[in-house]
Amino acid sequence: MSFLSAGFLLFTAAVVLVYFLAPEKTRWVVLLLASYFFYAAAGIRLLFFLVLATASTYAAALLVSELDRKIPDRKRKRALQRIVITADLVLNFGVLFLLKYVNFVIDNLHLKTGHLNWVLPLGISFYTFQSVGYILDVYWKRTEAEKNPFRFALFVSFFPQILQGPIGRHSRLAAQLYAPHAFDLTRLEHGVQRMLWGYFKKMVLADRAGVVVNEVFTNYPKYGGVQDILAVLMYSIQLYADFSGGMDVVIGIAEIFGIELDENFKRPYFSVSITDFWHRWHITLGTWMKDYLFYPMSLSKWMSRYGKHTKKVFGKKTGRVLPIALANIIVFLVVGIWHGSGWKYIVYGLYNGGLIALANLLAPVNETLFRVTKINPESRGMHIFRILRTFLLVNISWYFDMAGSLSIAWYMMKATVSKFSLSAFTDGTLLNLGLAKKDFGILFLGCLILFAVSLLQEKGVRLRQETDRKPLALRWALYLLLFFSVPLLGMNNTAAGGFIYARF
Amino acid sequence: MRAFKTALFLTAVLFLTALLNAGLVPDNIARADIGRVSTGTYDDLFLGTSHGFSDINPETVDALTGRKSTNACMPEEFPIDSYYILSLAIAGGHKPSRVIYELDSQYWTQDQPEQSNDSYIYRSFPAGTVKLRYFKDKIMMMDWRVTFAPWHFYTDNFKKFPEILRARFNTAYRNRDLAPLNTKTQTFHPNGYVEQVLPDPQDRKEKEIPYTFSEGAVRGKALRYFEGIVKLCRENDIALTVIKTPTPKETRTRYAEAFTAADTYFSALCGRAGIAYHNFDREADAAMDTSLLHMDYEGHMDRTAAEAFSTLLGKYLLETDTEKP
Repeated sequence: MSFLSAGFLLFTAAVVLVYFLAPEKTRWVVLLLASYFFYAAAGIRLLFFLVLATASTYAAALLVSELDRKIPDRKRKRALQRIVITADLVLNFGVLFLLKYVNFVIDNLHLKTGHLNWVLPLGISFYTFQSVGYILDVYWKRTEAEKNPFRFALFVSFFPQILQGPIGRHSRLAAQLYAPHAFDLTRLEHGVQRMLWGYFKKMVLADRAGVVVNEVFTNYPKYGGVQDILAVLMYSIQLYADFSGGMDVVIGIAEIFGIELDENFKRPYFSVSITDFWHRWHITLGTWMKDYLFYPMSLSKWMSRYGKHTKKVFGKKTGRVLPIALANIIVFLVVGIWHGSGWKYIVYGLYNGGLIALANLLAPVNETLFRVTKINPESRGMHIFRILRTFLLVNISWYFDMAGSLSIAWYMMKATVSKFSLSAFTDGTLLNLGLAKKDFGILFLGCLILFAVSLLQEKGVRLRQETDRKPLALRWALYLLLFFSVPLLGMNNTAAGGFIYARF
Repeated sequence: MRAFKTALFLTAVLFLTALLNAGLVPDNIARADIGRVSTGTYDDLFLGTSHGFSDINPETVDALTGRKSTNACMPEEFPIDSYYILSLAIAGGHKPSRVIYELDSQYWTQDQPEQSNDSYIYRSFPAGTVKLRYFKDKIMMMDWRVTFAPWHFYTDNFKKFPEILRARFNTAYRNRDLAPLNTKTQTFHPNGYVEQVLPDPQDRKEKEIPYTFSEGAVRGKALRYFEGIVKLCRENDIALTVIKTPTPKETRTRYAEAFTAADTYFSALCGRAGIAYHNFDREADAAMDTSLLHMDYEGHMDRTAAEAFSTLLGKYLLETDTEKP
């Protein structure tokens, strides 16, 4: 059931109604039943993988918790717990690998066996990471093991969240899911407003920008540098508006139920560095990687040994940074692989990790440069320069993300330079990419609105709360404008499909 | 007070939506077609796509068969839409004795686009259980703008807003009169046939979409609802004939592989179901002018070709009058 379908909205409305009519103690059961119904609607067979992840992680967490309670010998307890956790991780990541990556391995190892034509269960990348995060949190005593299997099933399957995140943490999300929230009209209004804002971003901006993106990236040999640059810029709009728009819908729905999900975006195009970008883009994936991969790896014995070695070889300053740089490269390699199976994703991850590692290594050089040139790194001009530099670097990474393959990405990057011709601005080719002048106008206007909203949010203005304080007539006018702008300005792009991240 | 204000706001949204739907969504052939199918009883009911809509004149066919028929073929009528039109006729006690299903293989290998004009057939349905099932099976899964705000597809009509709104209160609109829909290039007949005036072949600016067909590309949904039509006919003792209207010789030659593959597939499919299947491409060249002079490249005919084809179809239907699924 697509988030864009009337069926989804009717389903959500029905769940909201039943949820608040149900006795308080059973409200979480309504959410569980709704979540499983929602998931089963996409294919009853796909439920198997969801149930498998839920059951295995539930049992493993209980076992880890029991071992903690019953075995006094710390060493033996840790060893047994690690066996249980390893088994659970192998099972969950194994299923993910089998369903998502095995064909990539078959292709690259030139194995003679044919492709596995299994349907990828919806949201598997999200619920697998959420489950794995939970078992590790239980092991590290950041959260209690859930004793009720049905409650845990809700944590893994909460319907607005399961398809495209945000990846939730048990310590913050679980209690909210099980709590009997009372109906709150303000929350309902705010939730609907947020959903509409999400639909605006998706249907007015993302689907419109996507027309140019699809045209140029599909027929790339036909186009030159200017069109390639335009397509990449359009992709930066499409991906952000699509993914963050999807998050607005998800978070808006959860808000109606009284559940506050973690934010996944924080104005990423205002980032001043790639590190900053990943603190603002797909935040829950970034924090997951940081907590469950970066820190454990950085604190591991082998990394400590590697650190000692680098300090000996490269000196204290550089030697201290090198292990962090290595950990970043590994983390972003995993981030790349998480996005999909293919060399382009691996390069996408390594590109990001490499840039962050480089920034770590060059930090002292940067400081010296600022000191020598007497440039104030905190100045407004420098701040804007950093934002533009980061935006440029991020856009380069989109070539890998969007192109059909790594070789196409290389081809397009080369063509951006070698086939760059200013005549593209005058020969009318830009208006033959699927968008009319009117569409470019709407897109520009929409981006301006998005920019203004982001700027206000960046300055700490809480827009919905501020709007609540305005006179009724103005509020209504604003809401009506938002409501009717989606059908009025929304793109009729049949090739657009649903939200991009709902395919992960 | 707060809840009252919210309710008032929602009422305003609903009112504005209804107003925009009434003033921007123009009248169309579906209202008349669905009106006829749900209120009148016919011997032969033509279901299918824009080919049937422009190629089959029931008057010409009836003159040969001696039966009473109506044409409910419409642009963007996918098998699911045909299935529900037939369901509506049966549910209303107006079942035909024969259904002639005109198929276009392109509708079987493509997903139905989710644009609001693709809900226009549904919107013409009278309220009832058939409409509810139709909603559940098709409309509910479409983009929410299609369902709740179909006006979004017609935003170019803002200038015509008063005209479209006024037209809804005319007697012609209430009587489902199609005359107001006539244009320089299309004349709507009360039996569902739409007479077309095609520009000269050299002046046509249509975008040619390449024909492709393979069995693997057939959508499960198309097959499921076609089987639904077969089942409905069986259960209600309705004869079913499947036809393929002629395509210009030029198109068939250029995409010969796709046309052959489609013909083989549908012959086998209908053969397995025990249904008569007739591909008029096989005999049309000898019986009528199948050049681009009287058809567009997809096979939508002008009056001359449509009359010639309807005569050919009438003769065929007369010969096969007793066939039952």
